[in-house]
Amino acid sequence: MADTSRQNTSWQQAFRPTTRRLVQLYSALLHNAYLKGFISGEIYKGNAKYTCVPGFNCYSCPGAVGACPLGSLQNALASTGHRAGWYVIGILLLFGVTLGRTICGWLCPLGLIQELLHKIPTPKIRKSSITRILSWLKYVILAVFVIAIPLWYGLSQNLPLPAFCKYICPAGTFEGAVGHLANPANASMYSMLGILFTRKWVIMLVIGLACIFCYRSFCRFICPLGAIYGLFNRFNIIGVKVDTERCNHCGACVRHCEMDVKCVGDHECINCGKCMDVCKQEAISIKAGSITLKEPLYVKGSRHKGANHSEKSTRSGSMDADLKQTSRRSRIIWGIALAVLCAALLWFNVLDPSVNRSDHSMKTSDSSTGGKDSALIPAEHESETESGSTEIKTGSETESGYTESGTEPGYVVSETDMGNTSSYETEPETELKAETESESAMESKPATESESAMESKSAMESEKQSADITESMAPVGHEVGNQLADFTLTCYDGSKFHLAETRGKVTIINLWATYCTPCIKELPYFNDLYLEYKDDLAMLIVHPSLVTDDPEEFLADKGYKMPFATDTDEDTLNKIVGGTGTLPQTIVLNKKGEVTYNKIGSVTPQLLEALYHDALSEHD
Amino acid sequence: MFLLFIAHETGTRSMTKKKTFMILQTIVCILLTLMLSLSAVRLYREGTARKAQNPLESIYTPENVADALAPAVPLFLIFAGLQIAGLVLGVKNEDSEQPARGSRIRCEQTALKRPALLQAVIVVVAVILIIAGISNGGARDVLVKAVTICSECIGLG
Repeated sequence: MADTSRQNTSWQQAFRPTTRRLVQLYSALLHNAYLKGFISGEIYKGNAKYTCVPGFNCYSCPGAVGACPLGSLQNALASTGHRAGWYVIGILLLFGVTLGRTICGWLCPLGLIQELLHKIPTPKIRKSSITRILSWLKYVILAVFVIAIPLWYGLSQNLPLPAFCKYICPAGTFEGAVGHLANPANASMYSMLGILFTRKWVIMLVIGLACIFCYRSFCRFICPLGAIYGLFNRFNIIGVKVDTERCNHCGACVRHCEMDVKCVGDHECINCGKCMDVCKQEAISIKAGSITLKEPLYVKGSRHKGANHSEKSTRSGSMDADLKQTSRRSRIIWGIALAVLCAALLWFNVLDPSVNRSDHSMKTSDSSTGGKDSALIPAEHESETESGSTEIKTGSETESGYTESGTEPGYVVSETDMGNTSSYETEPETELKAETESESAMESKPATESESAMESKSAMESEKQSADITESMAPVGHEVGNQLADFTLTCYDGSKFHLAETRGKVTIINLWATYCTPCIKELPYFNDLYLEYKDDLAMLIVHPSLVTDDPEEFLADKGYKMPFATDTDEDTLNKIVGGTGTLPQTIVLNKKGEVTYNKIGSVTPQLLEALYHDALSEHD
Repeated sequence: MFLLFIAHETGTRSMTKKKTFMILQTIVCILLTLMLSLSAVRLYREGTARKAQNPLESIYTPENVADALAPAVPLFLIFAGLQIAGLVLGVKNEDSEQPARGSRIRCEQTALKRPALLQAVIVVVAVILIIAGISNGGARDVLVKAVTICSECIGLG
C-alpha cells in the first residue's frame, strides 16, 4: 500500500502540470476564444481583430480572436508604398519591451504544441554547437521572408506577398488550413488545394517530427517572431533576471537549459524559469521590473552547511508561512484569470455586437470608396425596408432577400417583358420571328377565325421559343444550376452593369481585393479572356466593401478592359453569390443566367477558357 | 551480491523495455510522417495529371483525401495507443532533464546599465507609433487582413 502510494505520488509528480503549463493552456484558449468558429467553419470577424495577439497564432484559424503579429508585419511591410506600418511596429515594440521572449516561454500557443510534442517518449537530440549555429537561421528567415520579400514585392510590384506565411508557416497550415478543411461546411475549399498546400503540408509534418526529437525546433531554428522578441530579451520588463552579486558563474543554468543559451536572459532564453530550480545560489528569479513574480524553490535551509538546528527550524517555519501566503495569492490570481477567461468566451461567442453585425454586413467606419457610387438595384423588384436601405425582393421574401432554391423562381416573365424581349434576342431568333411574320403576311388564303387563331398561336410559340433561350425557370440561388438573382452595380467608369441585360451571353463574375495576392495575379487572365470573347461574354470584377487601398487608384495604370465595381456597404452581391469572405471567388453563368461554376480559389487561363466554353456549350 | 545482481538485471531489463518502447515510438512517428507526406505528394501528382486532361477537375477532393488518409488511421491508432500506454506506465525520457555534456559552458552574466530608462523610452516610442498607425489607417489594414481568409497564407493554393 505504501509502495503504491509512493508510486502514485511519483507518477503524479511526474505528470502534474506546472504553473507554466497551465498558463500556456490558458493563453492558447484565450488566443482562440472564438469556439463557435470551430463548429461553423467561419473565422471571427469582430473588432478584436484590430489588435495583434502576442503569440504565434494564425489569424485564419477558426477560433482566433486577434491578428497574428507576424502576418500583420509582413502585410504592413508590403503596403509600405502606400502607408507606413507604424501600428504593427509599435505593437511589436510594446510586446518586446514588456515581455520579450517571455511570450515564447509562457504565452505562445505554438510553443505549447511544440513542448507537448516533445513529451512523446523518444530518444532526444541534445543541444550542441550545431544547434547553436542553427539557431541563427531564424534571423536569416526574418530578414529574407518576413522583411525583404514583402518589402520588395510591395514596393516594386504593388503585390502583397507575406512570404513567410505563404511558403513556411506551419501554424497557418495546421490552424488555418487543417482547421478549415476538417469542417464539413468548408468542403468547397478542397478545390483550392494545389502545390502550395502540398508543400506546406510536408513542411508542417517535418517540423512536427523535428519537435518530437529536438526541443522546440521551430522556436529555436525557424520562428521569426522569436527572433524579433529575442532582440529585446536583455532589457524586457517581465522576464528571468539574474542577481549578478549572487551568481558564481557555475554554469548550471546554461547546462540544464534546453534552449541554445550562452547565459540566462540572452536572445535565446525563453524565460521559462526552469533554471531557477537548478541554481544553488538562488540567483535567478522571474521579475516584473523590481517586483519578484516567482522565486526559486530551492530549499536552502535543509542543505545549508553549518546551520544549527534552531536556525534551520526557524527558516523552515518562515518558509512555510511564505508558502501559505504564496499559495493563497496564487489562488486569488487564478480565480481572477478564470473569471476573465469565462468573460472572454462569453463575449466572443455570444455577446460581441461586431460579430453579429459582421454576419450580415461588413460595414466600415471610414470607407472612402467602397460602394459610394455603386447601388445594388434589383430589376423590377426594388423595395425599401423600414430602415430605408434597398432590399432585393423576389417572389418570396427571405432574410437575405432572394428566393431560396426549390421555391418559385425570382425572374418572372411578364407580358411587358415578353414585349421587350427584343433586347435579349440573338440574330437567329430575330430572323425566325421575321420569317414567321413574313410567311403569314404572304398567305393569300382568306383568314378564317381558326386560321387566325392558329397563326397567333404559332407567333406566340415562336416568341416563347426565343424567350426560352435566354429565360430560365430554375430557382434563384447561387448553387450550380440555380439562377443568380438580378442586380445592378455601377462600375468605376460610370456605366451600369445590369445582370438581366447579360442574358444571351456567358457571364463571369469575379470577387477580388487589392490585399489579395492570388486575386491580383489572375486579373490578367480575365482580361485576356474578356478581350478574346467580348461579343459573347459579359464580365464583372467586384471588390468587397472592405477597402484598404483605393481599388480605382490601384487599377489606374493596369490597363484592364473589363468592368470593375465595388460591392455595396452591405456586401449585397457577396451574399447573392454565396460569398464566404475567402478570395478570390469566380462565378460563371450561362446564357440563361444559370450558375455553371461557383468556387473560391485561383483560376488558370486554361481553366477560365474551359469554364467559358462549358457555359457556352451548356446551352448550344 | 546475488541481490545486487538481481537489482542490476531488473534495472537493465526495465531500461531495455523503456528503450524498446521509445524506439517503437520513434518508428511509429517517422512512419506516420512519411505516410502522410507521401500520400499528399501522390494525391497532388495524380490530381495534376487528371487536371491536365480536364481543367475543371480538382486536384484534391474530400473523397480522395479520405481515401489517402485511411491507411494512416491504423498507424495513428497505434501511435495513440502507445501514448496512452506511456502515460499509464509513466514512461519518460529523463535524458532531457540531465545537464548538457560537452557544450561550451561560458556563463558571462552581465547586467545592462540603466535598463529602466531604455524601457521607458521604448514604451513611449511604441505608444506613439501605435497612435500614428491608428491615425494613418494601419490598424484598419490589420483588421481587413485578419477578417479575410488569406487563402495563400494558409496554404490553400
